[in-house]
Amino acid sequence: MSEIPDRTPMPSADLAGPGPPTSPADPAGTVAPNVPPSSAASAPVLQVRGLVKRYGRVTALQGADLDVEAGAIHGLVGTNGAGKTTLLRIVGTVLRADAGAVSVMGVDALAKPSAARLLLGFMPDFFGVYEDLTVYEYLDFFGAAYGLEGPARATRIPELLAHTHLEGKAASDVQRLSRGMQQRLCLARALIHRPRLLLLDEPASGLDPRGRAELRDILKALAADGVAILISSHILSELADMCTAVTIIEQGSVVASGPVDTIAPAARVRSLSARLAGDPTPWLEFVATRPGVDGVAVSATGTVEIRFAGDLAAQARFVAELVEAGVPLAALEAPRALEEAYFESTQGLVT
Amino acid sequence: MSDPVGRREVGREMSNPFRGFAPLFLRELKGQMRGRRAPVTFTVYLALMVVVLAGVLLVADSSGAKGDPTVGQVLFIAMAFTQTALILLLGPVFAAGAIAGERERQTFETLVSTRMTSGGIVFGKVAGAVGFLVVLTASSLPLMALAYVFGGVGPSTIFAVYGWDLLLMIWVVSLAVAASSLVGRTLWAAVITYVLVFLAVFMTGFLEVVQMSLRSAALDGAAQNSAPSVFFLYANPFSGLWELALPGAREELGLETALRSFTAYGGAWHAAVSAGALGLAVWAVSPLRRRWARPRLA
Repeated sequence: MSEIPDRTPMPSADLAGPGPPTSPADPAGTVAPNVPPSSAASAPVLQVRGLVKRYGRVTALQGADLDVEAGAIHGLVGTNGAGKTTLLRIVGTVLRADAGAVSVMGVDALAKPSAARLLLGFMPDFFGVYEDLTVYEYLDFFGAAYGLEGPARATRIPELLAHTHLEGKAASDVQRLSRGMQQRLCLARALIHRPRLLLLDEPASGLDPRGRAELRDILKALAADGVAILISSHILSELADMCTAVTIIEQGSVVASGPVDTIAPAARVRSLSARLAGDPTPWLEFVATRPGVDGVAVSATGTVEIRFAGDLAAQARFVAELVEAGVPLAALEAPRALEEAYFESTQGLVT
Repeated sequence: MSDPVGRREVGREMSNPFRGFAPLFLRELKGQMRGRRAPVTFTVYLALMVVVLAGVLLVADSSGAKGDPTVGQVLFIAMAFTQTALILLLGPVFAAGAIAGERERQTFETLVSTRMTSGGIVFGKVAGAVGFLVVLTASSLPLMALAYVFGGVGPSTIFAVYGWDLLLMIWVVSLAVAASSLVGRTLWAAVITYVLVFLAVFMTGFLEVVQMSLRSAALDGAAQNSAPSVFFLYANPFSGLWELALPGAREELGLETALRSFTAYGGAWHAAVSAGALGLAVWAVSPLRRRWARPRLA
């Protein structure tokens, strides 16, 4: 098999860049990677199998498996110490694995890390910047570090600055940028060589709400362009807003992985928060005697906390019943599927 | 637009063990020249050289040696030894943070996750620091050339001394980069390098004195007149300088029959140590080497 496989054909995109040329007359076709399209089109961008990492007696990863498809934003969720960063660092080829296999578009990243680095961009959880450089010089340096020639860098850098909303900052010193801008600059750095897999370790930490929203929009645009994104975070609401799939990891083991909807358990006891117009007290007994309701309590803020056992269909019937009975239901909040899945799957254990 | 990272380019660069050398070298040199450190270093360095120059001229003037060609030789020797001493002092300052500084700034993982090889990173760092020292010492070339004006020193001697200093720059920077890649802190890397330089400068002289004392006590008179061994002095960074700056001094001391050239053997020693240090640094910088570090989990 070729060491450098083909890149998955992609739509023309600003951030990810164009896919390999299809016309034989295209001179760029002589330099574009080329492997049988069948394997590139169907296989996940990232495949992790049986990944093991030990630090002395501590086993940080014990047989982790993971698939990330092209165009997916795949969340990596777990408590601190679960092994998220270790997994990302191994996939990012900056940490040695003790066992297992990592394949990035068919390239064995453990055996051929240099080849894999062409295909992935890595943004570590704690990252610094060269404060003695300007924004343009910073990206130019990393462009050269990835082997981009001068003209390619001159084209690529303005593109990245525009898409990470840093277009007016090219001549600014990196040290004068805000935290959010540095975060976006680091993201631009990871994208400079048009990777097909983007690894982001807690990219939103330290960002204000606007910064997080901007980052989310950028990542969604990247995913729409076909880039596979593996992102770790323990801010579940943030991941729930953008992830198409998720892997939950605890004590170095994958406890659940797949599209968010499929890993949420079908039926369980969940806590619903109902806000009623007016005093809820007269309705408490009625609510408590409905099928599936396991307990009712009124919080200090007046919210009715309902422990409910049942799937989504049962929950829908329960809500309809309340409305038909005339319960002045102003709002009903249920936990998000990702949060449910996370708390259902984990016990808060760390290695 | 063509894909900037193509297969042909990859195939070419995959076999390059120094991939990333050029951009890192340029970045390092740029970084060294920016900020306040560079102008301060140049000012202090040149001020010290001027002080030495003025001191020698004042002494020569007061001792009535004005116009004597030996003034040029003394001037040159004083400035050459000062310059070499400054190189040994400043080398660790500019190289100890090469890798440790990347770790402290948390830029190391970003750097090694690119296509740069460990060799490219280490040699780029070494070249950046050596490049700065070369520019620094070149700035004193007009002062050194004054010795030529006074007479007694030829241009070949001046350039030979600069050549020796270049070797010492590579040596001290290699030691500092190796220390920097093995320890996580710039401060500790600098301390380790200074200890090694101290041992090379002073401990070799001490060991030589001890060795010669033991030798003279053990041998009879005839044997004592035979050529002494100066093995430890080969490791002294000033030995080659002494030989180059003072052509003929070795013969005057009666060491000619005993010694091979300090420049040749001492140069080979320093080159070998540099090569070993660089190999160690390349190994230590590789992110995928086996390591015994504390766990870092998240």
